[in-house]
Amino acid sequence: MNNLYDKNNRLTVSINTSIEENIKVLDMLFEGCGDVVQKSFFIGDVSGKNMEKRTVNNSDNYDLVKKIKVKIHLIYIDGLTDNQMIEQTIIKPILYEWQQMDLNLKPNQNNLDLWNRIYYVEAQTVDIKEEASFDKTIESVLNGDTAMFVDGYAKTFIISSKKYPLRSITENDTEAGMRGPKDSFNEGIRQSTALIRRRIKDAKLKVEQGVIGERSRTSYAIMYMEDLVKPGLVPDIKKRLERYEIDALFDSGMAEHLMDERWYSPFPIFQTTTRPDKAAAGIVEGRVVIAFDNSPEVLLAPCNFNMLLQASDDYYNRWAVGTFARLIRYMAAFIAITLPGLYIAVTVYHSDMLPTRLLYAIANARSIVTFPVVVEMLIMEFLFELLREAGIRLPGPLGNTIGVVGGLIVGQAAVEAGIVSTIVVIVVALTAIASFAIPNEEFASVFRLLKYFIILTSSIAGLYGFVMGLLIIAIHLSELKSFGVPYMMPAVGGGLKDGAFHNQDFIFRAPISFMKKRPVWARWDNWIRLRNNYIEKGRKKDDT
Amino acid sequence: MILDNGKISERQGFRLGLLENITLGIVVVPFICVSSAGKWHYIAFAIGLLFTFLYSMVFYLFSKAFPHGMIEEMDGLLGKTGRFIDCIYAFRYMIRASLIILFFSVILRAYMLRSFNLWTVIISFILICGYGGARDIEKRGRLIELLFWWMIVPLILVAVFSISNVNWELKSVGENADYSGIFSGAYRMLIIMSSVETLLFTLTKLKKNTWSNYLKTIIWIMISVLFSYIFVQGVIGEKWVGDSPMSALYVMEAARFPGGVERLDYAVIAFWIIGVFSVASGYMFYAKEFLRVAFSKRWNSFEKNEKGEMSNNSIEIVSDKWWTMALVMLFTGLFVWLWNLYDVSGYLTDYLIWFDIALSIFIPLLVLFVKWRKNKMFLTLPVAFLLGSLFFLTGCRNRVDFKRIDDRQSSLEEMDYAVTLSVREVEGILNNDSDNEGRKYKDKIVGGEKRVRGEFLFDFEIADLSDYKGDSEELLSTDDYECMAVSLDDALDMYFEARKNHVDLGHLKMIRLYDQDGEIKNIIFELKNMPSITKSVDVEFFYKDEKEKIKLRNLIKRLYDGEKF
Repeated sequence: MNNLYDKNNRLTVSINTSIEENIKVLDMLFEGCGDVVQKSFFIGDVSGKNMEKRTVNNSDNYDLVKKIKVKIHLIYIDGLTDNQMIEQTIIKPILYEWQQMDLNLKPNQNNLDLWNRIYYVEAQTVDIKEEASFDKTIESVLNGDTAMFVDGYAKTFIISSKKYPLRSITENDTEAGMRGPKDSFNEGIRQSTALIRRRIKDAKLKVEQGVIGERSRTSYAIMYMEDLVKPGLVPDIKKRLERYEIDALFDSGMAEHLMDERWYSPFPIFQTTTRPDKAAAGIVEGRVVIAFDNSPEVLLAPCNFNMLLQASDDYYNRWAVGTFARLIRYMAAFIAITLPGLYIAVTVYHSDMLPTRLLYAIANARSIVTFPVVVEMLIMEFLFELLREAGIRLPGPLGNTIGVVGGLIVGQAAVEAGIVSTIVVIVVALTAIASFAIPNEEFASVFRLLKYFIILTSSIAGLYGFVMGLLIIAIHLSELKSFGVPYMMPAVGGGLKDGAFHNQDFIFRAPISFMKKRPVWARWDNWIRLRNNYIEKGRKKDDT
Repeated sequence: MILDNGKISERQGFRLGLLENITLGIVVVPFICVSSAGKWHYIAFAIGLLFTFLYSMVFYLFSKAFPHGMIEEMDGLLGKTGRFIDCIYAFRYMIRASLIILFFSVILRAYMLRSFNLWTVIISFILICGYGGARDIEKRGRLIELLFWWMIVPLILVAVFSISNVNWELKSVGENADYSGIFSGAYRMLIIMSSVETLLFTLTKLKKNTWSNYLKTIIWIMISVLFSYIFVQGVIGEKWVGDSPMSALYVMEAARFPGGVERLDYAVIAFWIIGVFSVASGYMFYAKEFLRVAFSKRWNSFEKNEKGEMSNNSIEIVSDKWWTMALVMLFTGLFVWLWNLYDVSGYLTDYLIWFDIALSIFIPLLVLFVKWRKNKMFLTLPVAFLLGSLFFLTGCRNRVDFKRIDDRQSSLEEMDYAVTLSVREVEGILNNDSDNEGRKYKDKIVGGEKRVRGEFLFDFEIADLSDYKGDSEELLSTDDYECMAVSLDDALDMYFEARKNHVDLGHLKMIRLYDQDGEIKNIIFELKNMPSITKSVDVEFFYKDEKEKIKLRNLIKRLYDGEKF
């Protein structure tokens, strides 16, 4: 068995002209695989005659029609394949309609050999292709296609017959928005590409497909606008995808980490989304979408800090509302990372900064607490993370219960027992709420993580440590790039390209009618995305 | 993908230029000018600004003469000699970085980290500067571009919240000074502003090195320093400015958010760290750039094209090793230690004042000369002298006390919060030479009697928080503590001995000072030097039968005016 594979887990055998040999190989390969369905058929004249004289078109002209008896062999995986479709489009035409079709052949069709006759005449499906490699054939079968071996030919037919068990397209619950489409990607790669294609009906939208994972053979699709994407970006993505040979890839998250050169950085260099509208918007901005089979989240590249704080609603609401929402999110991000550290720095080292009455209140509240401020804060943060993790793992209603029980009862009890003070509960709660306001969950996790780093530095050296901590993060962020685009753009990189107006889509979201140029990462020779027809055509505005 | 070619944008160049050059200037220049030129400080400042402009213009011209960057061209032109000069540059910048780091760390400890050993602050700051400076110019450009508003916004806030503190009526006039004082002040200001030399490197890395880019940067540098200069004078007065190199920090201390944060100075100093980081990491970055070229194993010199122009096609960036920055950090730390030694710091100061600026112009001129002459020239410089100078280190005395300067730090709930502080000068017949605990009194003879001199009665009104329900300060019950001491510092110690808790003076609402025969000024100076006491606190000042209500800041200004108490 093992000698059928090379070290890269690729089949070394070739398709034999003898179907019996091929069946032997298939039996060896799928020994013990109960879900694999195989069946051999004979087509043609089962009586054994080789030639027969027949009239053609009921005339006196006779033609020698070649009567054949050929063995074919079909193989597919039960559960991944549309059985009905195979029966209707392949088995039935070939087995039952063979004779009639043969009699009705036009003269010029008599020259077709068996292979082409099946391909062009018998198979009643468009999605059928030839495959000469045994390895690729098996890969297709494992992907849900049906393979048909024909005796005498060292190649197979691959009939697309995938029918995976899939979730339907449901309402988006991880990136919910008040306005805009509600649909979301599911685990099927074809559904993902279709949902995007439905939004961009342009032949320049390219979908390059491939497979990753030596054993999982996970399909992926790279989607981009041919005339908008910056040269070099797609090859770079492909190169990164091909860099590693991994056993199995079960989610886009694994691919994301494989493609990230800076493994030590907590910040993602891809934007992930389950929203088709967000993915489509990214594509028309010159970005690339990478969809993976079995993953409801697609990757978008390049990506920057600013994008991860944007939500689709920002563009659907009026500019002032969108801008305000973004401002809130930026403030939330700042609070999520700094508030506990700042509280520690101020209360432990610089209480002079506090308003007097607040200081008295904190001092009074802390007078019954056993632990120092830092320990108190860490206890509360740990408690919160515990509740969060428990809430995620438990089924929906139970998860909510844990949140309520934890937040209200345990929190209240902790305060009364003198483990934490009321102010710390407020600080931790506010930090948690702020982190939930970040639209990208992966990004919010980074903030939750870095919060502890700031707590550490602030605990050591007060405001000095606090600023040092922020400075270290800023230094790290400033050196990050996502596929050549500075991560902190547009806060950095201003003026890198003359005429770029990327500041229009920063914290301030300009009115849509002002956003005439594509962002700086789109192709520079195709920048204009919005034209005013009346001004362009030389008419006055009043002409409307 | 976007400008990945070792160049920076105009905005990055501008922000680099501004942050690397205003941080020290806005804090130290007012002190330098007033302390050197007395009441002629405005003239000294104007001349200093002119010097700064001319000095920066020299480097703009150099940047035009070395379009591919002086570091790169120098090594192409001078070969091994160029590498030696690289080392000189690296040491120049490490010396400068070390001085800034030491100065900053001392301030930081005095204001924010009084319970810290100075070395802790210095080492942590060197490490962070090394981390920030270890990148290439593109990353550095992005970093400074990102940090720009972090420093500028707090400064603007200080300006906004300090406007009400500007009081020209209370302006104290400095001492007379001769003409040499004016030029000394101007020249010393130029030394502080000599960081504009780094424009030579940032301008050559710009996408387009134009006159307008340079002009925009230098004008904003000058405007920032001018603005700070006027502001500092207006808030704390000439004499106070001339008395302390930290005068700008007193302005920050005086600034208050209305109804919000009690004191703004901590926050501003915290963000001023970013400015200091920009300067120090900048020097360390340039030192590293010089060292990496100096110790590169492979180096291709510039080639000339058919027209005889220099082409950077053959440039090969080499030796970007981690140890280059490690070396810079190590030497910067060493220089900080050297600055601390009395004798060596004298040499280093003399070097910075009399030699460094000359060197900064002389070397590029020399390289330019070689470039124009189109031949290579071998230079020999006294390496042995530099190495030999290390022998002077032995037996030097310490200049800076690296130990913690205040142990009065405890957790928030263990502090006692003083609401008012009263200090009354006590006068009477001295019966003993010392008090019960053996403290010696100063004495004076008045009318043939030996009388108590320099002793005060301190009265702390401490907020009673045992049943605090959010009442305002007026309704808060208080608890008094009285003691006799020769200074506030002493009184605080006595308080701790008596009550086992430290007193927090950061939330004082009122200070009452009772003056008898002028000795109260010692307490006022002590209040001035105590960073925990905000300078905006109200003072009720009693002199004989008169009572006056005044801000502490203005009282200190009057003290500097020489007003008799």
